[in-house]
Amino acid sequence: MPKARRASDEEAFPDLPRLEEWMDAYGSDVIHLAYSYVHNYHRAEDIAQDVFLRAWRNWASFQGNSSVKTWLLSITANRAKDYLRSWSAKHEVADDGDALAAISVSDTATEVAAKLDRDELWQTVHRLPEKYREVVILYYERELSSQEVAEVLGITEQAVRTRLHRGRQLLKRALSEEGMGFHDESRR
Amino acid sequence: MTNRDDKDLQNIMQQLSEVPFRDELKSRVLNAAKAEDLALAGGRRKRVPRTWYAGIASGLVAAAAVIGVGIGLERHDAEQAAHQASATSASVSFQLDAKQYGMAQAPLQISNVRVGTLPGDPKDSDVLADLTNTSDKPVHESDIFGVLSFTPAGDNNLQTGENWLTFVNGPSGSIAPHQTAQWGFHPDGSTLHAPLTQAIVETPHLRFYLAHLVPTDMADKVWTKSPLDVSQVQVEPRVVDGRAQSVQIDARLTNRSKSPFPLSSARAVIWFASSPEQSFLSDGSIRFMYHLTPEYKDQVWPSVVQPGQSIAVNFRVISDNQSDFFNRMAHVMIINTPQGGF
Repeated sequence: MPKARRASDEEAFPDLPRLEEWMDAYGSDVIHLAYSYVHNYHRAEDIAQDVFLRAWRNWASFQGNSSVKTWLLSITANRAKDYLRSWSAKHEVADDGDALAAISVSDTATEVAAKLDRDELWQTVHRLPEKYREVVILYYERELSSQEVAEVLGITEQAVRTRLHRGRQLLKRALSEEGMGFHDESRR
Repeated sequence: MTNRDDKDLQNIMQQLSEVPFRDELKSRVLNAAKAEDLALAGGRRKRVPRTWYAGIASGLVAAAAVIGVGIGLERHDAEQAAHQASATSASVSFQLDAKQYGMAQAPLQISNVRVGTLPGDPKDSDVLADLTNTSDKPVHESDIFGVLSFTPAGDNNLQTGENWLTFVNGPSGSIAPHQTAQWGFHPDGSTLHAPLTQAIVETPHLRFYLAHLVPTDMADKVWTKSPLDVSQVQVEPRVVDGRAQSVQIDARLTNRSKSPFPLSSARAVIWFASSPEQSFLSDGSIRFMYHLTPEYKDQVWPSVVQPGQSIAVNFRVISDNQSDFFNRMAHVMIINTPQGGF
């Protein structure tokens, strides 16, 4: 539920309630997905910020063919992949470092980052190849349907099912090897 | 996989530590959005989606910030800013079957385009430039796209045609109003570098456009489709190694006009889209520009396509080894080389 805001803000910035509602409703989905790609809490926050601002700026281009949730998650997946791959951007020397340094990182954020870094389950999930990790996270952790996963990733439902099948096998094996409460029958 | 396994996996995945969307982050986003709103139209409160506001004053500030540029440029910049404000207030949606695409210059002053060296690259193998945001609004990477092209050493004239060209992204992150960011790019064109030293031996040219279309009568540059119809687009893998992968895009070109069409007068615009909305304007697409003349010894096709003739061509692109070419839709478009280059 969006928190009450000052009337003056609503008058001055009439589009902001929409942005705030999106963050309340889907902020957790967006940052979980971003983190699943980049395995860095501070970077995941940067990506989440970028996602919501982009969506807010480009609201007029939203076609309504999908839900706002899958639209936001689709932007998240693309932004995270762009960050990870950025084959052209890796040679760009804009003020990325300065921009990061300018954002004050609170103790809370540092504590969260440290806790996440210690989470062995996240570490196991991050060892999955990206193409399987993204469907596993969206399907099992964020509980999207296979059709929604397909919309987010821009692939067919058949491709989602294929990747889920392989992703499940890899995850089961990894969890079994790590002794994390899953017994992998195929390893007997 | 049984339903029980499915349920077990779901339960385990629910035990992943929470990745919180902190109130501080929410405030950060809202404050950034407010700042963008306030930057629009010098205090005009209503947000106009996908619209640039570039005040006349911004041109003056930008000109003053560029060393060695005199009063004449101030006038030019002021006119340019006013033009951009009107040209970009109207946005045209991208249509695959459009005959023309209107491009508006990005609100950036591009200066000091030069050959240089980025960390980790061979000496003088990169192109560097200084980009100054001449508008009152931050310029984000996704707001713009660039075309980097090269002419032979000693030939500084894009009118006579470039040797090689490529799409480039804007600087990652954003450029604040009236701020200057350094931009750099390592091109991979085979003719650009000296064989032994990897130093760039050709002359670079750089342009940035807004990443949305504008009406052609307001455009700074119009990209017009050639009379070559493109069909049978297929993508096949070539080579993947530890760092890069290559794919080949096959296509059939048919000349639908009544005149012979010389392939040297057009360029291929190729993009791999991850969603139907993505075009070559989007920084989320994987995009390339190519000459239509054969590049490798085993590529053979005529240099002129006769009326009604259909020819098979292919393009070989290189990207990093994780680019998901095969999960994306490949598009090929043949664009006439505009007067003055892309």
